[in-house]
Formats: sequence, C-alpha cells, structure tokens
Amino acid sequence: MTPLIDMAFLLIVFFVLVSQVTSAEMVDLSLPHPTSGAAKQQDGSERIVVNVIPATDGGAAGYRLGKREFTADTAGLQQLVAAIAQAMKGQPSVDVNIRADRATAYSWVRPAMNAVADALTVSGIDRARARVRLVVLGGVTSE
Amino acid sequence: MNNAGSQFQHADAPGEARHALHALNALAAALPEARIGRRPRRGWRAPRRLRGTSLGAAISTNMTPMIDVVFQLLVFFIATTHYATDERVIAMDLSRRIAVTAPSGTSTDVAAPPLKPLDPFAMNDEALYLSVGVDGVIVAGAPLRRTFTPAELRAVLASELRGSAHPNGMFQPAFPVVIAPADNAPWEIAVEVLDAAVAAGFRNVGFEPRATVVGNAP
Repeated sequence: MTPLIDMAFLLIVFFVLVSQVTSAEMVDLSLPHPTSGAAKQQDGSERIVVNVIPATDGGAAGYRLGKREFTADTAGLQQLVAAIAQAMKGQPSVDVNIRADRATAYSWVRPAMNAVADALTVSGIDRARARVRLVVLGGVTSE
Repeated sequence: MNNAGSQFQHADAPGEARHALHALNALAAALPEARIGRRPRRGWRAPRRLRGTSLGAAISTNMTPMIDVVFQLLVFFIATTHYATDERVIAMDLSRRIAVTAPSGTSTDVAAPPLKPLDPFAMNDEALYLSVGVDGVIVAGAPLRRTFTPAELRAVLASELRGSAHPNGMFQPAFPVVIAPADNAPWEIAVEVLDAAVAAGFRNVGFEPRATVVGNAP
C-alpha cells in the first residue's frame, strides 16, 4: 500500500505545481485558428506572454503578464509597458508572445502590440532583434 | 499515591481498584508493541485479560478515507490542468511594422531605410495595404485594388509572389504587407489575413503602424 500512496502523492504534487505554472502564463481563451501553416512550433526558449483577457462582446477585460493583471486604460497600459520592459531586462532576444481570443476586437489587441513596441523603446532594444509572436492554434484538427 | 516508576503502585489499593490497575498496567505494557500503522511484532499476544476486547486487537489506522481523498485530488488536478497543447506562433516583425509608411500619412517613429526597387519599372515601395472589415471582406490597396474573401486573398497572394513557381509574380518576398483591421474586426480575421500573407511567402508582414497616441486605450 505504501508505494501506491507515495506515487499518488507525487502525482498530486506534480499536477499542483504544473497547474500553477501554466495558469500563471496562460489565460483560458480560444485562440485563432488560421487555415494554413504559417504558424510554427514554439521552441523552448525563454518567453514573455502577454495575454489579452477576453470580455463579452469582443471587448477586453484587461491585459495580463505572468500573474500581474493590468487594466485596459492609459494607466494600466503604462504599467504594462513598464512590466514588459522589466521582464525583458537583460535578455533582449527573448520571445514576446501575444495571446488574444479569436473573438476579441482588433482595437483591444492593438494596445498590447503597441505596449510591446514601447517596451522595446524603453529598454533600448533594437526592434529588428525583437522576436514578437502571435499565438494561434495549430494543427489541422478543429477544436 | 506514589508513582516511583512506570508501573502504577497498587500494593495498598483495595479490591476493585486493584483490578482496574492490573488492566491499566497490561495496557501500558501492550502499547509500545502496537505502533500505529504497523502490525504488532510477530508472536505478540495481547494479555489474557484483554483478549477478545477492542483493546486486545492490533491498533492500526484506517487508510481508506485518506486514499479516497488523495485520488479525488489527483483526478481534480489532472482534469483541470491545461497544457499549451498545439499552440503555435506566427512571427511578426515589429521593426518593419513600425517602419512601413502608412498611406494616411501618420507619422512613424522610426525612420525606415527605403526599400530598393528591383528595377526602374518596378512598383514603388509603398506597402500592399490590406484593410480588413468586420465581416471578413478584405479591401486591398494598390496595386491589387479590389476586394477579397480570405480564401481568394490566400490564393492571389500565393500566385502573385515572385518565385520559382511564379516567375511573373507581382511581388518580391520583401515587399511590405500592412494589415489594417477595422477597430471592431475580430482578432481571428486579422490573424487569418496575416497568416495568408506569411504562408504565401511574404517576409515583411505586419499590422498597421500605431494610429493613436501612446497607450491610448480603445
């Protein structure tokens, strides 16, 4: 009986930790699913994930970077810029992934992209070296 | 009563109390043997006085409720864990996006090196401007100048990109493509157009330069 309980506890600890790590960077949303294969697999490099938190009617409830949430107003976006610049400090070639729901209106995604551009300017990173990616759903299977 | 050692003193205790003290001593002798969760040492027998009573049985914890709870937790965490399953990324070039000249004349914050035309008869270096409407209709600017559905756009972009497959294509791979979704166009359609251009082979695809002041919320 003891090995069984040992394994069960190990699995629990594993899943608790994994769910904490993933929920910190991933807001639960339905990603866009383009029909062809321009999208590539992510490599294992360091990345910063900027989430656009979806609201009803194509709006956004705010933005999220790691565990920090930012409101979708001028003050919140300035904080977001500062937070992205802080996260990019010391690793200029980091991937910046932008995740947004497929139903979110473009006007709510654009501030996130502008924030990334501003953060690059703030931290003095050459834009040509920045690796900005849009996260989509891959594969040929429909959801 | 004088407790000199671990044994209860009972020399002068009368009758019934003496019996109770006998039972207590027997229990005290038995307890170290019956450690919780383990079977008693082989050959151990409860004192005769206690046999057949609950005190005479081996002491052990009931593990079943704990294992039930453990498995409930396990199932819960397995079921609620989301993985980044099948998430992929489309690279977007911010520098080009910012550098591209917007047709409306909005100022850009980085001076872009002008794109060199291939030959004197090549088209100017203005970007192919794709306006995306809410309903998914794409209005392409010069030189295409017509409306597309996403599927049509995909086919046209693929066939107009100059390469070994299409030597007479209209565009070089470095030709900038600027996607300008309407404010309330769903992100899905914007990404679809970006994907069409990138999949066709354009290397210089981005969204429109910023149209509003820095940090202006929608």
